[in-house]
Amino acid sequence: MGGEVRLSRLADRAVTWTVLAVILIAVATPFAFMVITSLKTNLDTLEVPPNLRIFTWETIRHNYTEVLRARSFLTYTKNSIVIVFGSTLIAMLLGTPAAYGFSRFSFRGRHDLAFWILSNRFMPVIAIVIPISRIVAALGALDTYQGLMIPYVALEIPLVVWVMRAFFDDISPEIDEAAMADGCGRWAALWRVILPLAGPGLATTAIFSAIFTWNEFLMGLFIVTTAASQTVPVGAAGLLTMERSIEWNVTATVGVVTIVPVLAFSLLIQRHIVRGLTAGAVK
Amino acid sequence: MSERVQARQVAAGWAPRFWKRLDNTPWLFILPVTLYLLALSIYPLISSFVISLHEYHIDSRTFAWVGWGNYAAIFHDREFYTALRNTVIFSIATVTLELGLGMALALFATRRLPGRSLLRTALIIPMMTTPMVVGLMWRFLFNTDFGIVDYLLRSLFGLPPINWLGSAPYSLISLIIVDIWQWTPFAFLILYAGLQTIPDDLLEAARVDGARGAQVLRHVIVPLLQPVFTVVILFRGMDSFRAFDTVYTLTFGGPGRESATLSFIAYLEGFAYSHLGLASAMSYIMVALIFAGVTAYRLTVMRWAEK
Amino acid sequence: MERKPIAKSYSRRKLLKTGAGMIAGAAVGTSLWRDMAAAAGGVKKFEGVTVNSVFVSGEHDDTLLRDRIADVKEKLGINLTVTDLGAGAMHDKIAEGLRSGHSPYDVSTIVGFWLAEMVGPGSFEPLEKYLHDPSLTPADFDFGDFVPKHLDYISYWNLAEHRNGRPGQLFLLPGPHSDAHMVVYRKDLFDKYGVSAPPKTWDQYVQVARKLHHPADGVYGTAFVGKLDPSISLSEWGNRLVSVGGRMFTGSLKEKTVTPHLDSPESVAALENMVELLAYSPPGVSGYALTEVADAMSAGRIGMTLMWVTVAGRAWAPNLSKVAGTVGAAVPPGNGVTIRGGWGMGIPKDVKNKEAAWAVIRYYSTKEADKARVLNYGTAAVRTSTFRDPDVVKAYPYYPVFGTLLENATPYPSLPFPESWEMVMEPSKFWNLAVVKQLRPKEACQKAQDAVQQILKKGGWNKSA
Repeated sequence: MGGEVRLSRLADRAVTWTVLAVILIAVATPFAFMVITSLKTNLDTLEVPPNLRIFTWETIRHNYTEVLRARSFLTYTKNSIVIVFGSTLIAMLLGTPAAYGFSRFSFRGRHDLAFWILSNRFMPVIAIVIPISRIVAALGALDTYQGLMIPYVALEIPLVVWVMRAFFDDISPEIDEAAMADGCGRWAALWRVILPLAGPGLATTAIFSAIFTWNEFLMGLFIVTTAASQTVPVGAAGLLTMERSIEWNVTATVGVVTIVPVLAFSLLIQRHIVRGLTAGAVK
Repeated sequence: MSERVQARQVAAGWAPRFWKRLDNTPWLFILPVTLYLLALSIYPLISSFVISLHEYHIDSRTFAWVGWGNYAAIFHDREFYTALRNTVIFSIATVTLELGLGMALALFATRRLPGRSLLRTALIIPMMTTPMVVGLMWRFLFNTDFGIVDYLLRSLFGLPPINWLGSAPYSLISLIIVDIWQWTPFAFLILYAGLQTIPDDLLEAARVDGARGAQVLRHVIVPLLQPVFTVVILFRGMDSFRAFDTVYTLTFGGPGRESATLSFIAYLEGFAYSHLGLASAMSYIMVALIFAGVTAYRLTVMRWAEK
Repeated sequence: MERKPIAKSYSRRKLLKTGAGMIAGAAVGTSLWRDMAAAAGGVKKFEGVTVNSVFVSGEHDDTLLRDRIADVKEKLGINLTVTDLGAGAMHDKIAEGLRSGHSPYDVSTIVGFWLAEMVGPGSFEPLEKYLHDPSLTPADFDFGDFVPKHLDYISYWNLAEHRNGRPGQLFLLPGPHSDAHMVVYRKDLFDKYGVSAPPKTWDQYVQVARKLHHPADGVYGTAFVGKLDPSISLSEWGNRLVSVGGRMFTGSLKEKTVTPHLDSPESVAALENMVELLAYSPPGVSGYALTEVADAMSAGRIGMTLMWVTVAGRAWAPNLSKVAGTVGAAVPPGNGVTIRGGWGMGIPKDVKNKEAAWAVIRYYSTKEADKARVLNYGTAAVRTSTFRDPDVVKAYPYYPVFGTLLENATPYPSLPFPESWEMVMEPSKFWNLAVVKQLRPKEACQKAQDAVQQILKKGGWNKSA
């Protein structure tokens, strides 16, 4: 009997490790490949099977200075950080109360309004980018950080409202009522009681909003004019060349360099997903 | 605390009730977002609709009224149906597989695992990579002659060379694979966060292999996760339906139009060829299709939730 | 082809300064310039004026100018910004600027296919008056030194007759690179397999590819762009067509009597030639765009290929190519005519500081700048003096062949039409389908013919259609 249990635990562990290995191979191999490619000369990247010769410091330095300095990705990354941070913050500030409103109040047309908010993501960006860029131009905000944040906030809001609403729905309304019985107003209840409980939701939503904006290209293209205010995706669009060959090592280096800030951001914020784990037990 | 709040309400004086009511209406919560979106969506919606009723003349840079002509032209174009078919296959395949894989991974990640946080981080890296780089890296990986994918398939399984990006149906399959690689993390992370609200013993039960586990999963966990599922399905569905980036960098819609999506066709018409009217009409058709899909979802799956 | 780091990287502060400069420039306009004749060798200076310029990414047209931002400030007083964008993105942005009347770039760079769409409706500033103004253009500028046929391709446009070339007005100035196609081949493999000379006809091209084809040794005969990509039209079908005197169109745009000939015997032969080469190419060739072809050459996996000169140059660079010591350049088969390419800088009419924009254009197309671009970055020259320069020929052994090619090359035939890009892209689809053997070459040509016929009809270029 005891042996059986031990055996099944062993089998369980074997399954765990196998699945873990498969996941890591499927997800991490392309990423690892990208990191390795960023350490090679372009000529070396073309070898099949890929060679894992000792990488030279000179090549690595060349690739990374090329990307960070010559191709100005340091500047693009800085721009993207400011824009992503700003628009995510504003979208969260506007969208979270709305999500709370949709979750806690029952009023006529509630679902239709929620779907109208969602419908702002129906339109292909290709169709709205020109009119939006003309609005931004009319506001005199072309080629500025604010100019990019204006549409980015609008693109993030549906996501914030819907994801946060799903999380608020998971928190029992009795908690609000208890807080309000204590004399809190709605807003105070949201701010002091519900938001701390919705930690994992907030963290998840912030990560997604940030990632969507971090990756947005077309809006950025039409609102930004000069290299000094370009974002990462706009800068990266230049990697796909027409009458020159694509430099795979440089492409990979751009990939590695531009992951770092989002990765740091989500590592920082993921702690709250875990912390939320215990907070969730309150329910 | 309650005294202080009351004192403040009294201090507000002339209409404490009014304030209290205002505090307790949905509108203050919802209005800012609504106004913001209205301000930014009305002009683009109207202007692209008006443009969709015109034909743009590239030579004179003028618009000529054609009524529903662009819509009619699209519905008579065989390539539109090819792109529609591709888009539908792409969307259904990616959403289903991402949801399934994301759920499996999320369940798996709730186990006590070595380096759980590392795993979570590794899992969301694909989503953070700039789409242009994702496309180009996979173009490199999928290269029949010096890509690592084909090299591995050839040397490990002795498969004949596969032209991933240049032949049908592999080009569409490649796009689906890349989308799954890139966006399963979205489903994973949302479902994982959703699972945090579910008691541990239920999760444990679901993990047990066999009939009982499946029962718990189907009848207890999935219904509890309904709101999160909805978010994943709606957002991944809409974004897959509008897929463009990887098509542009990986296959360019080829061979022929075998892997072209509606967004890609709309891009070609609108930007590359400057058929602004046609592209706007195409976008409106896409909006109508997404609207129909979302409404169908609302009427069937979400019906009980919207009581 | 090494890319030097920019002397000064951009910073937020610099952006703000530029912004301030832009406001100042806009406020006082061009009236602020002073004639600093003595100080600057007879040309005007534009203190505090901001000029935004844009170039295509990755083709090294932007790099040298970016290195010289400080020099531009010192010599011309201009606050210059240099931006590079991918070709598609740049097209979309310049086109939208012209439509809205707010062009983002004072110096806008344009490729041949965009001429009819962008310059054709008269939205670019004619440049003769700037060229002939001694206060704007120094006497030693030597306009006559530009390769004449290159000027006819990219610089001159005739508004009334819907075509490029002279007689016409000067709208763009070269400076950004020129281009043509050449055959790159492995001399060592030619010797090994007994090929005595580069092929003279397209049939011989197939024969040579067959001789060089030894997959067991890891070398394929050739590779070409077989993927759905603009290059399958531009580099592959187009070259095979024009090098045997084939025509894509006959008739006149002015009279609106244009007839397409994509179903002509020459067109079918061009496509059949590509399909025949499949047997002597790597198995994945129908997924190859330019990059993959150039990669295959540099990695030593193919014996011969046809390529843009600017792309092919990399095969000679030891740090970028395994076969640097053993490659040769040849004029492609046929009558020596290939598809030409390259970019020109112009000034949209709706921008404010046209004289300052001209100053930058002129600064960037001097003899000295042309030579420096070629020597530092291996791009394609636009001035005759650069082709004759011993330093250049020494550094790039294929330059003499390139010089001949550039003299004879012809623009892609759809260039005069504003729908030019569509006329490149739509047939590409069918060439690609022929290469993946979903269509026979003849069917593909018929379908391409129908597609182009459709475009012509829509554009009203054929009254009788």
